[in-house]
Parts: sequence; C-alpha cells; structure tokens
Amino acid sequence: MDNLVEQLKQQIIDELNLEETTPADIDPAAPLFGDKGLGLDSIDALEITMLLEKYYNIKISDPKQAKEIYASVNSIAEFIKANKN
Amino acid sequence: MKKVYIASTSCISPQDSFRSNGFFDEWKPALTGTDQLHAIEPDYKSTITDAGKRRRMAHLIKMGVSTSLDCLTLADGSYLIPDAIMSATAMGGLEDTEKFLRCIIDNGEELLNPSNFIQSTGNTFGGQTGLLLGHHGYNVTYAHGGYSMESALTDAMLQIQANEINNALVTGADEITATEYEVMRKMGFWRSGRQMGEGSNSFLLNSEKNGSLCELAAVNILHETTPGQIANSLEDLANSNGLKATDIDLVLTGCDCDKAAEKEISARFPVTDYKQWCGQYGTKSGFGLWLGSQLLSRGIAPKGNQWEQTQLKSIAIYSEYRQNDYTLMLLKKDTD
Amino acid sequence: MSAHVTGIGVLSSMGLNAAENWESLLAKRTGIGPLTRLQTRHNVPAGEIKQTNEELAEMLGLDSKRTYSRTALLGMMAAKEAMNEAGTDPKKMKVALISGTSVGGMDLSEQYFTDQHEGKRARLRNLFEHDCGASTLRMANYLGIKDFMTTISTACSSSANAIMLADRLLNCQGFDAVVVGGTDPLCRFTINGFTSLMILDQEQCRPFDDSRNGLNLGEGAGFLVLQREANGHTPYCDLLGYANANDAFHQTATSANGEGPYLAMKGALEKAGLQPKDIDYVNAHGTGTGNNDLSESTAMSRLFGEKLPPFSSTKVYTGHTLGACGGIEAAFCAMMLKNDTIIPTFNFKTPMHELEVRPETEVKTNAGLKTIMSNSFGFGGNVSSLIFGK
Repeated sequence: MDNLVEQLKQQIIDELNLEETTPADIDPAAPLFGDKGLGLDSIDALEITMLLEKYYNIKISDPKQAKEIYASVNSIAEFIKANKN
Repeated sequence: MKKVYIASTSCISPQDSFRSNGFFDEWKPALTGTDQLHAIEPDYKSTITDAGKRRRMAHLIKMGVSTSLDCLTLADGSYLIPDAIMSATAMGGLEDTEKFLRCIIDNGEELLNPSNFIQSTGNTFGGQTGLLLGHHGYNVTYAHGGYSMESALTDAMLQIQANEINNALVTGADEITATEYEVMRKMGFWRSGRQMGEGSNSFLLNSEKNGSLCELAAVNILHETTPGQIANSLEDLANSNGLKATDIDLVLTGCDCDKAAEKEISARFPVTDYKQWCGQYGTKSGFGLWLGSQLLSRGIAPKGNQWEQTQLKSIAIYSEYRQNDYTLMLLKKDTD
Repeated sequence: MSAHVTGIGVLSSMGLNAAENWESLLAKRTGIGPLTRLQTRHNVPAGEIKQTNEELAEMLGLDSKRTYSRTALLGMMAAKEAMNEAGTDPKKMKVALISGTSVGGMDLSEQYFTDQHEGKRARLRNLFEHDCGASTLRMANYLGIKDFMTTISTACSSSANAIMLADRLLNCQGFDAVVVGGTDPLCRFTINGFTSLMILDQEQCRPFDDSRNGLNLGEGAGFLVLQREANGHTPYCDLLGYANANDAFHQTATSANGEGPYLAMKGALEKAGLQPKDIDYVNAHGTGTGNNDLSESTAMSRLFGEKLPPFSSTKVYTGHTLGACGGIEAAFCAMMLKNDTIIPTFNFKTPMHELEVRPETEVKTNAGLKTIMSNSFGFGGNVSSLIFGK
C-alpha cells in the first residue's frame, strides 16, 4: 500500500506537472481538490483519469464516480487495489 | 477621429529584449549559421508567479502571458487592467495540437490528454491573460497568418476611435515547432538564408498621449499587391496621414519571400530589415512594431551598423508573410 | 445606424442551404445521428454532413486535383449562398470577409499524420492548410473578395465575435458589405478532444433537461452579409447590439453564477439601447453540458428576473458546431425574425433540479418577434451575445 501511495504521488506530480511539489509535500489523506490540500481542478481530475488508465489499466467513465474516488491519494490507492486487473 | 498611442510595450524575442535595454546598448549583427532563431526566454517563475496557473501553460502561452503581464505592469508592481484584450497568433498552440494529434493517431484514440486539447485552441494565451487579471472585458483572438497581428491592432484601434474603450492590450505570439520547421525545410524554405523565428510582442494602446512612446497612426491590411504597387501603397499611407512620402524617415521591413517588393521599397525609402533580429513567423510584424516604437521613444535610428542618436518623426513597418499577406503600419512621433 | 442582414447562408447536418435547414427546423427534425462518414472509434451521435470533401468540391465547381480543407469547403458554400442572396459583387463593391473557425484545416492535418503513421506518403500540402487563416484565404479567393479578410479563433464564440468586428468595420472603414460568419468541420481532433474532457453525450443531447449528460458535436457553416445600405433589398433583420465578455473563471468551465454570460448579455442590451423586457426570444448557447446550461440559465435569471423570455437551443438539431455555431445560429435567428416563428428545442422533459427554467418545446408561429438575442460561449471564458431585431 505504502509503495503504491508513493508511486501515485510521483505519477500525479509528473502527469499534472506540479513543478514545485515533492512527494513529501502531499499528505495522502488530505483532499486533492478544492481550496485545501493540493487545490486541483476539473482538468486535473481528467488527467488523473488518464493516469489511471495509462498506468493501472483502470477505466473510469463516469465523472461523478471519479469525484468520490479522487478525494485523496489514499482513496485513489484503495480504489486501485480493489480494481486492479 | 481619435488618435491612438502606444503607451507601453513588452517583447520576448531571439534578442535581449525582455525587461532589458541590452538590444539597444550596441548594434546586434544578424545571427548567421542557423536557420532557427529561438527566443531568449525569461525565468517564467518571475513573470507568471502563480505556480498553479503556470504549470499547465505551454511554451507559447508562457511567452504570450509574460509579455502581456509585463506590458501592463505599473510602477508599484500591480497590473493595469485594460478595457479590452486582443490577441494574435498565426499558428496557435501548434505544439499541443501536434501532441494531441499524435496521441489520437499513435494511441488509436485512447489515453487522450485533455490539457493538450485545451491548449491547442488559438485563444489560450489571451484567455489565460484574462483569467490571471480577473478581466471581464472584451477578449478576442485573431488567427490569420500574417494578418493576425494587424487584425488585432485594427480591432483595438476601431474601438478606441469609436470611444467604446480607452485602452487595449494587444499581444501577438507564435512559436517554433519541430514539425513546422521540418515541413518548411522539405519545401526548401530555409534555403537562401531564411530563418524561422518566434516570440511575443505586447502593446498597450491608449487614447491618451501623455507618457506614450509614439502614435500608432495607421494599420493597413493589403491583399494581393501587384508588382510595382507596394511603394505606391506606402506613399498612399503617408498621404492619407497628412505626410509626404519623403516624410517617412525609415521603413522597417520584414520580407519572407517577395524580394521584388522589398527591392521596390528600398529603391524609394530608407530601409532597415527588422526580420534579421526576430526571424520569420506569422506575427513577426509585432517585433517590427516594437522596434519602431522603441526607436521613436528612445530617439535613436540605425545608421550603417550603429544606433545613432537622432529623433525620427515617422517610421513605417512593412511586412510580408509567405507572399500572401502584406501589411503596412505607420508610427508617428510629435516632437512639439 | 445598425447594420442590415441582407443575405444568409447555412450548411448543417440538416441540409446544404438555408431553405433546407428552415424546413427541417420547422418539422423539429434533427440532423444528429450516428457517424457514417468520419472514421473514429468513438461511437457517438453527431450532426454530420454526409457529403465527402470531393463531393462538396464538385458542387462548388472546384478543381478536384487541388487540396481544400473541409473548413474551407463548408465556408465557401454558406458564404456563397449569402452573397448570392444579397447580390454582393466584390468586383463592384468594397467587400470584407471575416470568418470564425476553431480547427482550421485540421481534417487535412489528420490525414497527414495518419499517412505518416501508416508509412504511406504523407503529402506536405495537407499541412499547408492547417492554420485557421488558410481556410479563410481559400474562401476569399473562391468568392473573389480582396479588400479585407481576417479570421477569428476564440473557440465556440469565434463567429459571434466575427460579427462584432463586421459591424465595427462597416461603421468606420467604408465597406459596402461584410461577409461574416464561421465554419468548422467534424474531425477526429475535436471528437477526441471533447471525449478527453468527458463532455460528449453518448446519446442525443438534452439541453436544459435535468438528465442532460453532455453535448453532441456537429459540423457546418453559417454566414451573413451585413450592409449599411439595403439597396432595395428587404433585409431579414438588423444587428442591433452585441458584446463580448470574459468569464475569467476557468479554462474550460463557466462560472456558477454565470458572470461572463451575464455581462455579455447585459452589454449587448446596453449597446442596443434596450431593456431586458424588450427581448422576445433567446437563442441560447445551450450545449447540453451540466455546466453550460446551468450557468447560462443562472445568468439569464439574473438578467431577466424570474420570468425568462421564451428561449431554446437549436443545438439539438445541428449539434455543437464550435466555431461555426454563432454564424449558424445568427442565420437561424434571421429566419425566425423574418418568419415570426420560434424554433423550439426538443428532448426536454424535466427541468434542472438546481434551477427550474423551461425552454420552448413547440414551434410557435405568429410569435410577435421583434427583438431576439443569440448567445455563444467558448473556452477560455470567451462569451458573446448578439441582438437582432426588425
């Protein structure tokens, strides 16, 4: 799990081009979207969707479902573990 | 009709032109031995301070937004919010367009990156500038080859002259991409010393004369000039602005292909090639306009291969883009 | 003095001229259906024009050996129709062409990269039509327009913005006529682009309905001829006002309170010297995405108060034609005014749960239309509103 969380952090930083953020800056339990935490927006959500497809072969087609899954790095990691093919 | 003045400018180019006097400190000879003149880019962390917004900006957008913001920066570091924003780009976000196209074709229409798609649209740097400024006013982008810059300037002038607005930010930008370079290379375009260039040029146009660099007296879009006519068009430009042809002190020329037209102008007017410093791109006339306004406000002019202290009164800018798009602009400096 | 609309030309999945489009609109017959011409793995409905580029070129009497982008071909047909109707002769008149497009010659660029990918000979000339201005230049050459041309690219509000510049040119620069509108083809680029944004509905779009789930794309072109002097023609209507505003909220989404749309509609009213109560109908942008329709309705409610004027979205018939939609819908508005008829939307059952507004759902003849508004909103927060009147 921890490995997956660290790996996810790095992938998010790379894919979303968070140039001034290091994995250590991301609290895996903190919200990714909104004013708190990383402050990501709807385009970032789409990029995370792409990231999941690219690295984990998981397809999310319902944006509403995505909203719940993408609450935090931890919640994404849990979703990956539960759905990994 | 109301006169239109250039209140401030900002320029990213292959020269030392951004927030610097370097370009005018000593004469810069044309760069040779290369057919690509890449822009000297600033540290974008200092020009676009919001890291969250900057991270999703492609190269073209960073250039366009940087000169836009710089052009609006006031003495206290805050931004002047213009009444309108007009932007110009011949090719738009070409790099992202190509990335997205390759994504579609190479990945069989899967794993599509929405950021590339969003940044591919022509109006991204104009829109992003508006977004960063929290600007709710008029915001339009022109994308028509060598007319892009002049179209944006025309729109701004029409609105200032009609009293709809008092000022407008006009920015033109284009970028070098490997594919465009390569395609043009295969066509043999870079033979005979042509150089591809890139950059971003911003202007704050204002109805207020005080503190301005010079007057932007005219912007003319010409189509299909027939041989032998271009010098006459320059004379018409002078006449319709209360000048004689001999009153035009200098013509800054940016010629892509039409050597005959350039020759025709140099036979009748004193000329300096502005393109030697910026290279060829769709909105290169923005560099010509930047150079002209700087010469008038600094009171210098090219003489031999030197900058000479002398106050010119009027400078015309002639630009030609791939033998299709011909434009003329006229700058005036009142010395009274 | 406001500009007269003396000619219109429209091309969409409903038909290849204004008359065919109007007949289809009156019958509430949509042009949206399964894609058959365009090759893509995405199985989405769209407003597709079934003629191939070769067929379009033949209809235009063009040399089949030369390369034209679909953008240029669609634009030529619509602009020619408008000019024929208005009797615009560039040989005798000072004429300008202003076109709005979002993708330019993308269909040819796709061909180039596909050929390259498949190891075929990729033709360089296909890439030469790539930029937006190239399509306008081809159109101008075909139409014989030499005095002025330019291209606006502000995504989905491109042609609405083009119409604004047209009026300003007529005011100041002595043009006898301005041919203005927009053109955009369906292409894999936009289908994949909107897929990546997850805002394409897999079914027919449902603007302003609570169940709406995205937009359908479409293709086409819409052009007007604007003139100061009608020269004996009975104009369709006049362009009374317009405004462009920037939402300045997000790169792709519109703000929840609809600030940009509100400012654009308000600005257009001010320019026209009119009050909200003067508007008899609004041709909404109404794409069918969750975000657009709610934001636009919120802005309309802010401007018009509790009781909105009749409104509808004609994108249920054409799909979202991106850079062309402002021109196409301006032509629709001209026909609605001329025929005093409101074209409704369909596929509307349940109002949005956040804000209950109801678009027109039945064709209304003798509607008493004098002044109508047309909205076009684009990426980058670029929103525009036009007002046409008799």
